[in-house]
Amino acid sequence: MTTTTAPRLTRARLLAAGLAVGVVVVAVVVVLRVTGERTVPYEDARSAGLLTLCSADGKPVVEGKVDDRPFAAFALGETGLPPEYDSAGTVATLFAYQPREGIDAGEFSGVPLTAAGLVADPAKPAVAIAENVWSVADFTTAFPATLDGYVQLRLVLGTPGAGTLTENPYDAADIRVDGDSWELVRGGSASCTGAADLVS
Amino acid sequence: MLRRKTTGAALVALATASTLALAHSPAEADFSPQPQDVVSTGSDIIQNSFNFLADGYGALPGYNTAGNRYRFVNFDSSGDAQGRSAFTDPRLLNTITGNGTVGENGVKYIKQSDLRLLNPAISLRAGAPLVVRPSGGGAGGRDAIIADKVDAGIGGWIDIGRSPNSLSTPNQNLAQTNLGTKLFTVQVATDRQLIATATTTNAPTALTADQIYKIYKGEYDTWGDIPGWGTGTVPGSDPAKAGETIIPIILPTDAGMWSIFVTNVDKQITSATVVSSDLRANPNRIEAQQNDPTSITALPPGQQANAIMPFPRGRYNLLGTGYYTQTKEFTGSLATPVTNLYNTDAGHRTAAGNNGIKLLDFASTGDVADPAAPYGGNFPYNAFIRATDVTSNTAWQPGSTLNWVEALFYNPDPDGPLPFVRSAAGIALLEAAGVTPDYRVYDTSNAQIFP
Repeated sequence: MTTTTAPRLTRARLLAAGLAVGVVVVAVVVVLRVTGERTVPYEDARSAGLLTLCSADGKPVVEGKVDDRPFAAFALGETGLPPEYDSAGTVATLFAYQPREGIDAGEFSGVPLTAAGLVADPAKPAVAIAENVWSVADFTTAFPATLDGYVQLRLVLGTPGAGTLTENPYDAADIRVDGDSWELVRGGSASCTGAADLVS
Repeated sequence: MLRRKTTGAALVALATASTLALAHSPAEADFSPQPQDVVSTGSDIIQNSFNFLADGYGALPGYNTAGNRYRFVNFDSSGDAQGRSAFTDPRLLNTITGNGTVGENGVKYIKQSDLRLLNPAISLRAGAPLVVRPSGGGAGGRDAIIADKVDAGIGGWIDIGRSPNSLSTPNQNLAQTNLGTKLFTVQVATDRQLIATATTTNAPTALTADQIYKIYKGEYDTWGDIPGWGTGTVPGSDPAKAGETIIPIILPTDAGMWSIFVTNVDKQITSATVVSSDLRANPNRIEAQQNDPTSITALPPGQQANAIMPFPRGRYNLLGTGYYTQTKEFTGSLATPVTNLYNTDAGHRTAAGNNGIKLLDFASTGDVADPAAPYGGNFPYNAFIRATDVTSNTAWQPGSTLNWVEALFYNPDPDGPLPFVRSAAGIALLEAAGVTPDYRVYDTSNAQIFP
């Protein structure tokens, strides 16, 4: 009977629609957090690609506590050493910078977080983040995240002959600090499986 | 001294020729720091590691590599990045002409004692009038920052004194008088002075402090004078070499490494007080430039094998990386100086390695106050810093909360961010400089407060 079946269909459709909306919302949230639909309030013309943060057990790291040390085990880049450089002894160093309102990214203040670490494959730069590296809280103590909580991470390559290639494009990630937590707002999606094999 | 008398004057001329390029080419047009840059002066042996900390080395980033607005500026000690001394122009000195009996007939000579070390000038701040470059860990590091009061517009330009010395109570009191503040000491690393020989040497496996003392004092002139030579009492001693004359290389009395040598021998010779003159008494001694392997390798082969000299392990290690360069002074003459034409002539940049020398008891670490122990002494890489800078509320870099001391050398907050010298990047640079990262902090009463 139409009088009894119609409501069932409607409820089913509503349930399906609700589930669909939910899936979409979750998907959008995931997309927002991983691929950066949230608008990062600055641009960096020298950012060539995105950094992926990985845990020691090969999982992506997209959030954490500001006191976590290290805040990730590895940072993976996607932009290899330019071919004009001798790739022997290629290293990568993770820097952190402090975005500030109205200041060009080239003028951000910052520090090298890690020592320069040898990369296994200059086409797939990566660096290990040791436990003695500043936590996110250390960085924001030294350089408060005054621009809506943002901190920029940069993976800068270097070679023994050419030094640290600070004038070259680098891969970057943008994290946002909120209270005692941080989240990755703009970052890469490289596979973290085997990340440890990318550092020598 | 063993130098052959007939060639002594010629060697003086050769030595002066070698310094000619230095006398004429230290342009001193160094980078001039801006008011909020942090300026370091002082010790030559420490300058390389501080240069690395400031600007990096090879692929290793330094503090300034991050591109911050204000910089850590580290001035070399002598104006030569390899720490060699510069001299006044020897061509301006009076000469005498040899007659074949004294010197070569018709050849002009100058007296060594007429030579003077150059006082190279420097601009310690952009736009400031020139001053004589603060040089050495004592005068240019410790004493320079203690004297860095503003006087008639001059001074107040040095933030860090580099020195292997420690501060005394009188030093602190004088700093208080001059600067209105005492000084903190931040040790960033430890280096160790050992005995260098030629790679192929007649020296034994190790030389005790007592043996070194007696060699330099002139009690032991030949290897065979060492009791037990040729037996297991002196490991590595060859009885066939017992008659060979030992060549103890001494350093200029104003060389930092000479002061370290005297101090270390004195620490190990517990039965007597050892002073500089005690260690300059061997009649076969040769005076040479500190920290330079050619002080041994340039000797005639017969002397090389018998030469010994105090040498810092950090410099030996850094030499091994190819950081230093060979220079061409000795291929030229006074009349036609030769220099390394940048990026032009063949071999213009040939690494000056540590080939040809080795260090006895290379892997040793701790000091032993015992004359029977192998000679060796640690010395610190210190930064002297005003206490008022340690406690300053003035943030350094734009946007930062840290003052420059907190950013670079010492953060009094035990839970705060580590200073750059303790960071992974900073430690890697100190290791690259061949020294052992070793972090300690001493307060204005010279008491150790960390660790």
